[in-house]
Amino acid sequence: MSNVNFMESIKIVPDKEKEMLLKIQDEIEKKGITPENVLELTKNLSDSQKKRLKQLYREQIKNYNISTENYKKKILKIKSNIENSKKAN
Amino acid sequence: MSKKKVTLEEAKEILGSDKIFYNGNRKFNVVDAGKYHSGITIEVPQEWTIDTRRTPESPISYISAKELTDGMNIDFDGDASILLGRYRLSKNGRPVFELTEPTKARDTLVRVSWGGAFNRTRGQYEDYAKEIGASFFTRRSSNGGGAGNDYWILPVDFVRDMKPRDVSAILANIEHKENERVAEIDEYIEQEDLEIKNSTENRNRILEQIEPIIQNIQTFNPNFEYTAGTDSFTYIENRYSSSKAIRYTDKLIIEIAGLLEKAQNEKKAKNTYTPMFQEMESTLSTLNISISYNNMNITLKAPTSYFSYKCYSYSQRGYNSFISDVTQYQKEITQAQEETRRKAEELKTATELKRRKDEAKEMGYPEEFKFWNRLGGATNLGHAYVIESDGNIREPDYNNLRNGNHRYKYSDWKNNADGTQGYEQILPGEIIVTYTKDYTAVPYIFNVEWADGEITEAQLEVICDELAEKATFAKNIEGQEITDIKQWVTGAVKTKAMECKKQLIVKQQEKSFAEEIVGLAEEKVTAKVRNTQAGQLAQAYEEHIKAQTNQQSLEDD
Repeated sequence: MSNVNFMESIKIVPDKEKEMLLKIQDEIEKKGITPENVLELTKNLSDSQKKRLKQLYREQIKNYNISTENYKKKILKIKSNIENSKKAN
Repeated sequence: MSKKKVTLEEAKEILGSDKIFYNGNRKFNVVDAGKYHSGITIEVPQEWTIDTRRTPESPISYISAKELTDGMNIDFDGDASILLGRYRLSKNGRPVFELTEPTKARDTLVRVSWGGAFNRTRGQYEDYAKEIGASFFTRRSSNGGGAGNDYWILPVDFVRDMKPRDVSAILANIEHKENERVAEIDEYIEQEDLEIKNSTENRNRILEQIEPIIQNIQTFNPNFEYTAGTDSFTYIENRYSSSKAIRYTDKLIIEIAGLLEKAQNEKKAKNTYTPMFQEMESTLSTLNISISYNNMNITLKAPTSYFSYKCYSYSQRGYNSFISDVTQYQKEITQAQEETRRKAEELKTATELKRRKDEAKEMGYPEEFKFWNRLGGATNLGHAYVIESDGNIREPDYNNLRNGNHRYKYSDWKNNADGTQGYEQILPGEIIVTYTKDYTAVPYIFNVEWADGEITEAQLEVICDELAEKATFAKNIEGQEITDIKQWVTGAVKTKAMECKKQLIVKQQEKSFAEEIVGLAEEKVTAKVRNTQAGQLAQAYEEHIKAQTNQQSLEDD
């Protein structure tokens, strides 16, 4: 493989569609989460874009939930360490 | 007998003035003060004539004596009335007019009333009075000068520009009239005193005769009340009548006997008519009216104040009036109930329509439909039929008149007047058919604007009826001639329904999508918040551990 191809392959290409969908999400939250606002802001989206929007939400929710679980585990670990050190003393 | 000596207090009360004094000559000096008054001191005797009620009358009583005043040849320019007496000036130079009997009078005090509403008289002035030679003159007028009194003092026989005349006959006539009046009063009082005397003497005899009758009256009429006074008998038949006083004479016995007969008749009438009123009790009960059987009449009480001031005697007239009023009341109640029912029905219809509209909106049916309405004229015609599945043509929800006068021109202006009409919400099952016509020479253009399914028989019948005449010269929006209205509308509705159903499906899908996004967006917000809180708590714990560790190492050191 040539250097040019390699460089091309690792280049980060901005995902304009995703940016647009994220912007729509922000607008929905800013204007108010109502069916009317959603219809207004998504009226020009194609079916595939609408599908991707739903997917984006699900991924974000999943990521938040995973992160929250990790925090919980961390807290439990710290609590456990505190208990152990108390017993040692 | 017809004169009374009055005290100073009595004189002040009768004349309504405090400016009255004894003059040390067995007379009163009355200062005639006040607006429109002469300002003269009038000297009056202490003995005053009494009237038939034995009340002293004021002696300062102007009388009309046209024969005297007209004969003076003076233009008073107002209504003249006089007092008769003698005029003089007091020690202090103030005018005094002493009242005397007419035949002893030397002067006359003439009061001339002038002006006021619709009265063009204006009295006279001092110059004129001086020119004439009046002994005294004063003019008292209102602030605006529109009304007032003039006061003249002239000799009784005065004639302007001529020799004095002989007025003794006139004065004698005036005195004679006054004496006649007083004589009448005397006669009246004398008569009354006699009646009182006789009545007092007959009291016991008459009472003995009438008391048993009265007891009898009271068995029929318990409301009958009486007072046996010293010189007269007073009774009151019932609370609706006024009291009556009669002397103790045989006339009283006849009257009391008459009252007994009347009470007996009234009792009989009550017995006759009470059953007739009682027959109506069930009707009254249905109308929520209660009836009271009083001694003299019946009264009714209803939920409204309709019968508040009415009563019905025990007579044919009373009964007829009762029937008439109850019938009228019944009619009014029925009308009111009908009105309530109608309003309730209207409200129910309106509520039902609103419910259907809300439901249709949820289902994604079009929220507005406007059209141009013009039925009359030769150009720019237009109309729309929004027909429900049962064939009912629904009225528009609003109309904006182009010409406000059409509101008065058309009795059914909501449907017939020119203007834009509209529906706020299309309902399931409705079809919308429109027509337009630009001008006379071109055909009508028919169109189906909306349909969500097959046309019903009822809808088909209505459309064919409404458009039959116009269909003889009509095309569809594609420009094709319409030869069979039934065939056209059935086909057009079918085509339109396919398009509209797709629209409805798309709307439903959009609605589902929007609801799903709303759910996800809310869930994202919740997850984000929980994540932030968890992060903050974890950080707090870490900092706590760090602090503890530092503490420990310090202690170890």
